[in-house]
Amino acid sequence: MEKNAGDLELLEMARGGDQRAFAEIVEKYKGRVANVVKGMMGDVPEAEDVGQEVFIRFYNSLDRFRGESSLATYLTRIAINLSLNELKRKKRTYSLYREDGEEQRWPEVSDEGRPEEKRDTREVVEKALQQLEDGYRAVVVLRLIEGYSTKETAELLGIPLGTVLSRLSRAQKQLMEILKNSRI
Amino acid sequence: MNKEEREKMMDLLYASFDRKLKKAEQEQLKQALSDPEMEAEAVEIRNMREMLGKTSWDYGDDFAGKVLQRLAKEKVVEMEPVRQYFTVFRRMALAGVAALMILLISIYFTSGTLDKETLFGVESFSEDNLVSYLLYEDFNE
Repeated sequence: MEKNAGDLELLEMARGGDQRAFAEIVEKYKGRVANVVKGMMGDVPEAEDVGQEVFIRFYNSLDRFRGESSLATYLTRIAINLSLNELKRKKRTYSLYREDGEEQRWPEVSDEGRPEEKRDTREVVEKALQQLEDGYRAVVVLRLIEGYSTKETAELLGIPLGTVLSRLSRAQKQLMEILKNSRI
Repeated sequence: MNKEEREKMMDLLYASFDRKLKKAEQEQLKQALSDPEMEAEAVEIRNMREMLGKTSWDYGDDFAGKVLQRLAKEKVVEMEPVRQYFTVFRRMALAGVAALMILLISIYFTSGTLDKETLFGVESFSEDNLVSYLLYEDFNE
């Protein structure tokens, strides 16, 4: 993943309290954060809160960001961790209210306000992704949607490379089944 | 190709997209791909990966504004405890000032003056008495 010289300038300005510079960073990377968060959680209202939280955490740690990884990778790491935490929290909440032990599916994804041409594919992908286990979905989102290498994916998730490879293989087999059943 | 061999080849096929296969594995997969069914599977996997790679999401146009609003709100919330401390301190200070005023007024009404001897409660002492009081030693101890 490339490092961007413009980012360093924006970061310096944001550290100095320039809100417009920070807003520019948000604008530049919101798509990437959305890919991770919505890829993990689906296009649900909570995904927006988690996305905002990613940038708030980043703002609060501006002084700790040393630029050892690219800004995109740094934000992706925050985004994937917050998404996984939110999914865990949601599962705990659902399990408190459900006594039948049946597996809980997330609420249906809303199509409101989406451009028509991208809607169908994205809807199918979203639904298919939601049927994967969180750990498998994380690997798919980082490797296949965000385009990180398997090594980078392992580093971002803090798991061994072998685990990434086996999860990728199983996740793709499951996705293929799901997509075939959806007749895509 | 029996079912077991096919599954093994499918595993290799999936793996080939994410890691470099060993030479022997490459040979095995090459042979397996001569089977039209396996070749079709390879095409499907590639298509699926392309579809995933093209999938993207975004947040609305006002997303950055919302983040800044939340940041501003959180700063206000962070300031709240400090503000509460100031309020408590102000109340304590006001109570102290009120108590002091009452004390001064009561001293003034009982002694008719507010000079320092009266304030420190040594008005009835003459300086000579004060010196002997301070130098007094109790030899009975």
